[in-house]
Amino acid sequence: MASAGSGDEKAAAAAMITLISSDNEKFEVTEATATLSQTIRHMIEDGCTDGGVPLPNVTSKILARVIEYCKKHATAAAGEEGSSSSFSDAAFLEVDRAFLEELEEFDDAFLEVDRATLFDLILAANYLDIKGLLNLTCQKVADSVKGKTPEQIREMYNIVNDLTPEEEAEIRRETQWAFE
Amino acid sequence: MEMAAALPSSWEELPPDILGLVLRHLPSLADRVHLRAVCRPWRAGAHPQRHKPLPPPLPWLALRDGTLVDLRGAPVRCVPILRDGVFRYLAVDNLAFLVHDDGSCSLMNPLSGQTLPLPDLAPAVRRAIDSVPAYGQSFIRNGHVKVILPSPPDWTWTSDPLMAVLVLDGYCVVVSGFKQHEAVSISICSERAEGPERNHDIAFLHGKLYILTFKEGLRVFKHDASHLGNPKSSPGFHQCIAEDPKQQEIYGYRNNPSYYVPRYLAESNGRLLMVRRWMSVPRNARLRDHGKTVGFEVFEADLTSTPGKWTKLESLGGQTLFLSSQCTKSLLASQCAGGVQEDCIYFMHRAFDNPSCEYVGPCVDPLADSGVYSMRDGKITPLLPEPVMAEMQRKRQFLTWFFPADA
Repeated sequence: MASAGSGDEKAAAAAMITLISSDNEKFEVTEATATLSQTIRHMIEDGCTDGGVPLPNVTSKILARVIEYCKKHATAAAGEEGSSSSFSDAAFLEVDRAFLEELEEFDDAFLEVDRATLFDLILAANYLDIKGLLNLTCQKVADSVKGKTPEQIREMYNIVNDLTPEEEAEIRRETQWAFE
Repeated sequence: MEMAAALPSSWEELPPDILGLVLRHLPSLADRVHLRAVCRPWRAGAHPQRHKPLPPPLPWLALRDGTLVDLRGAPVRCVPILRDGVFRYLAVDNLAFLVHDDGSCSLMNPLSGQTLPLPDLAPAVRRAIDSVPAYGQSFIRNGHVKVILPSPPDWTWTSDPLMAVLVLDGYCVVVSGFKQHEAVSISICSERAEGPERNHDIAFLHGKLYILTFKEGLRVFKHDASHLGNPKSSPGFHQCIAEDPKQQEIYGYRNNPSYYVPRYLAESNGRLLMVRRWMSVPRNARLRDHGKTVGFEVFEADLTSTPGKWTKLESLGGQTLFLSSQCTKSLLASQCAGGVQEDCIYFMHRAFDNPSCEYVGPCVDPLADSGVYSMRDGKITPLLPEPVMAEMQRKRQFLTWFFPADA
């Protein structure tokens, strides 16, 4: 895969994009990496990326993580395109499977973050419109609340219960079956 | 930098769109309900009306004693379905159809406790019993095989859709307006047969009642609820797909049955499906009780031509079929982990199907012939995770599906 990708990298090297975080840090990324974000893709299409793309909603800490994700998944996307032409080739399918497994492992490791980082990643994925990352992070939240009571969820995410006693009573009345 | 200041800064402020995405990854209704009960913004932001259409939540299991459990085996703390005066019940989508000791019927929502009496059904069932000599008066309580309502059942229906009850092993159908309660009972005779015939199943498609006959014929009910009580217009059925005399329920060799093939009728995403369930019957075993399901065939009713015909399907088109004779439903498969798999048939043991020949004993495993059949590779996998399966088997009660609504 590495040797097959080197030619593409050269071609993409011509189109580098500069992303600027809210704290004014600059990140040079390939267009293939940047366009995993629909928001940036549209900016490139509109030709307004000269002098860098300011991302006032994303800190350098989070942007670095987001770029890490996009780099990995942009390579994955390129790999998929490359192998689809030789779909019947068993060896290629084998490589594909290994690559998908590696990608899954990467995703799992990528999500090993504290709640605050997870929150910022969700907002960044939403703002930058990166479907894969948004899905991944929302799945993580969903998995974390499965089988939990509202109180356990509040503790986990440090949420203050601001429901009035009347609202609580209404929820219990409507969905009595779901509570002790 | 001003934009950054306006960003949500804590989990309470998670935007509704994102809460909607989280909901999509929660196939269990209990988890969705708990998420909405965390705080005010989440209650508003994750409200089901805000995120239509959410994938339908996972179904629950309905036990004969009136308890509901989710697919993890956790009991649902709902209003007791079987109470004093209730003889038995049938699961109908997200409702329970109650048969009272005196044969009268009502519908109840076990999650809200709301009930709706159906006073004209019992007299119609009685008329059905009178019209088929083989059935005695005890069938006023035991005769109901399957109840169907237009999906999704809704107490606030402004129109008056039909509901239908298959009774007496499928020899008769009782049709009623949901609100008007004028009920008629109809026994279905083919042109050739002497008396009434047994039918496999009933289903609604676009508000019309269809009935699958013994020989795989398909008929549609020619009436609307407003005319049910009109004595001048006799209700009847119009044949859409012709009877096929070759079709059998039992296939065998020299009087030794080897396959028992019950059929089901189900509405699936605007299509009407017939499902053939192939059950292999061991030598000298009791027919119907010890069959082992080996595969399914699914056909779509093609009603564009006259007469219509059955067209075999290789895929359910992203849908999942939950099958039991008492309650069958097609759901959009979920795309998330732990949700229902697409192009699969989740099937229940058949003994629950026909209460009149049900027997209960320690030898009966209520899930003996259940599983998940994949339309893609024809393989059958266990219906539930091993621990849940074991727990349900210990209860020794036949079960069917219950489909809680997320609204």
